[in-house]
Amino acid sequence: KVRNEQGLLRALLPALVIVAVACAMVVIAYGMADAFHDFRHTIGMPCH
Amino acid sequence: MQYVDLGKNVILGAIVGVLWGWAAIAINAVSGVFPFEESLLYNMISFAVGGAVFGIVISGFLGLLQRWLPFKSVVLNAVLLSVALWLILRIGGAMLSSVEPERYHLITIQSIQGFVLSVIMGCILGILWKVNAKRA
Repeated sequence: KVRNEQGLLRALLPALVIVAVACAMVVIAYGMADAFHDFRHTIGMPCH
Repeated sequence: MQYVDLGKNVILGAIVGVLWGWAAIAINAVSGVFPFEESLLYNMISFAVGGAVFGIVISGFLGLLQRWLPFKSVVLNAVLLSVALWLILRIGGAMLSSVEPERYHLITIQSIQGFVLSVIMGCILGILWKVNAKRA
């Protein structure tokens, strides 16, 4: 029964995937791991 | 069930993001807000990757938060999420800029373009989300 852990993982997995991709988004947005230099300027994010 | 939905959301978000990234190149080329420093081919790839990441995040949040979002229209909810995420990143950018102004600085006209692009991202995602829901 302790099935419960699998259920918890199944419930949390979508949120964890989104959080992981959101971390990648922050890395790209703030130029942090300058490949996206033009992209950042175009979408109005801070750049040097 | 949720696995299938997440998979669909990720694929839809990636497709929308790539389309949006390429639209952003065209819009910036017309507006002239930022003169590109890289070649068109390089930007086609970097904007596709960057756009896909943004698209996946917004699409993922739209799927996860759909029940709690205020509007009945999925397009309005997508625009709301897209603009909210852009604003959060922009506010974070302003904080970084105040801490480290030499490395990070914000340009108002680029911010206005970024805001408009975030609205466009929400519109594209919302419309394709509706089309996808009708087909299912």
